[in-house]
Amino acid sequence: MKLEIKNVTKSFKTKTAVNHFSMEIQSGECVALAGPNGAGKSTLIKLISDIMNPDQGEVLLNGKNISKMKKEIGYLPQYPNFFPWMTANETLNFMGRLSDIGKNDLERGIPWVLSKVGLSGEENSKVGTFSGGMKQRLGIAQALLHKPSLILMDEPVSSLDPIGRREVLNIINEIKEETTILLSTHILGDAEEICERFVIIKDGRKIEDATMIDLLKRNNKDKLYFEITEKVKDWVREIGAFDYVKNVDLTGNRVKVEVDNIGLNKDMLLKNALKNNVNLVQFKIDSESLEEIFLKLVVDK
Amino acid sequence: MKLHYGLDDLSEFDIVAFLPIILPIVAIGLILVLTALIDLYRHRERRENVLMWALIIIFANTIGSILYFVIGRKESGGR
Amino acid sequence: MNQFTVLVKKELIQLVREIKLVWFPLVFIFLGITQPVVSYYMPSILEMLGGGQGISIDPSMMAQSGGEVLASTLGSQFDQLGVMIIVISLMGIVQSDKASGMLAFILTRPVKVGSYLSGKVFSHYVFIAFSVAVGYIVSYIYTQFLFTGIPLEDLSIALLLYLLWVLFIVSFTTMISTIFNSQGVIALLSIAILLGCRVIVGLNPFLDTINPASMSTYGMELLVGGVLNSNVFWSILITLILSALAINISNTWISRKKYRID
Repeated sequence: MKLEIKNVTKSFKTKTAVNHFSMEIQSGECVALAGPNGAGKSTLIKLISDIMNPDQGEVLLNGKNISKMKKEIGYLPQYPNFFPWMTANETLNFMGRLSDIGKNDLERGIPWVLSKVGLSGEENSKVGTFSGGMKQRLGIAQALLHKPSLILMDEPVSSLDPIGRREVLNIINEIKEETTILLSTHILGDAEEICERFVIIKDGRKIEDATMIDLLKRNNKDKLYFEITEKVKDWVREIGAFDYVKNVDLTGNRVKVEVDNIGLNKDMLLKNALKNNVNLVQFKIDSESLEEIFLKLVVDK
Repeated sequence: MKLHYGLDDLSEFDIVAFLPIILPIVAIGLILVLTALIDLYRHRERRENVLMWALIIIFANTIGSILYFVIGRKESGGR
Repeated sequence: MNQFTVLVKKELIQLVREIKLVWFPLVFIFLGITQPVVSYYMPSILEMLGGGQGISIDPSMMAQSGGEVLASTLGSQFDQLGVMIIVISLMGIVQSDKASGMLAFILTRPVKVGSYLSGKVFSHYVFIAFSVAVGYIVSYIYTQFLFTGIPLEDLSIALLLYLLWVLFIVSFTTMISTIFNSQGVIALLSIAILLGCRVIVGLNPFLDTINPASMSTYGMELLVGGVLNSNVFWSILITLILSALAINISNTWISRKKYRID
């Protein structure tokens, strides 16, 4: 499986939602499409799932236009909205039959997929009575049912409460072993848990495409983080004068210190603090969290 | 000159010939009203203006229940 | 074809679940009974209430033929309240799927837009045609009991002609429901245009030929006078073409993804 998005553009009346966007996804990857609200994530997912046609460019799956490869795609909408009068079983049957799955395969497939998303026992309940998390899980079930090679999820956890979010994240974690996943999210913390690769989109353009480890490494500066109980301003000024200290940043009780070489200098600084009787609460290497990197990318650029 | 016409006047109709014709209409009207009321009751938690519809169905019976079926069966709040 | 059956089956189950299967035919039976019964009793009621005051009753009202009564069932009951009920019950046929996102969702599956639309139109048309036919037959039973009988041939041809008009109503409403997004607009527009078509019948012979609503009046003429309009074949052809065109426009509209997606 290989998904290619080639220079895709989609404009609406007032704005360009996706602007000359290109990327490739290989089999087995789990890719998070992150970006602030209105960045074009949803539009991009809809272009890939063939709900909208791009103005320019094309989306290819295994070298063929996506419109001809619908059987290979499982799509989970942002708000999966099934027919409320159908039961879970009927919904899966309906969606499965639309994907050309045979009756016998469905008889085996539906219980399997329901147990996978933890909805066994609910097969005869009306979808109208389901909670948001249950609908989302049913949505995942229908996306899995025809064993697609690529699963597209539009904000799978954004609208859920913490419990529903946990359940859905666990399910995604499990299924990513077997398929390729592309999901969009505006909450990086969720994506961080499941996906290795991040594509960050802003104003319809791709501004970053890297693995999580790369991103963290790239943004890892030689910084130390202190928390002290009393303001020992003198000491803070004193360390600012050391030649291996490049920058000191004091806010309240928190001190951020940038040094030349973290491996060598962190012990020296700690020793110095102890010698001066600074009351330390925390002392650690300060690495930027993914959330901060994301914010920096999205806000600054 | 007689100004008021009461129920007595209706007795001039031939009730025996009248009944088999009018009974099916009454029956159909009744079925419509009952189906509407049962449906409204079964979905009372997910419908808007349950009381209003109940009154419409009861007081405008046949027309009321038709109205209910045509425009009153909208689910409320469903995303 | 497989998808078509799945979609038709879904619509039929929905008809059962939403108990439309019960109330919709009943409404048409009710409309069908109303006309003969009211026509039959109205003279006696008027005579009885107005007798002392000398309101004159047109004796021709008493002497209506069965054909005339059944024709007014089509013309005054089905073509007014009936059409409104059909349109309002169909206004969400595509619109509700658009609004809930189910249309987009269904189309992420290997489903042709044509299968989706034909499934919708086919299932709803068959059901509505069935309901109208039942109402018509019940109306006939009352009519021949209270008035006179009608030759079976005229009776069935008039029904078939009327059902062609119903076909146009269904396809036209489907098209409007595909293009517009508000149920109110869909209902108003469809009712205004369809009733408008019905009202202008008789103004101009050429317009009548291309007006699908003429199917209804041809049926009525046949019931009343036993004669079929000579333009009927052209009208049938044009009604069929217009219905196909309406479905085709809906098909293109959805295929080009012009429907709003939020």
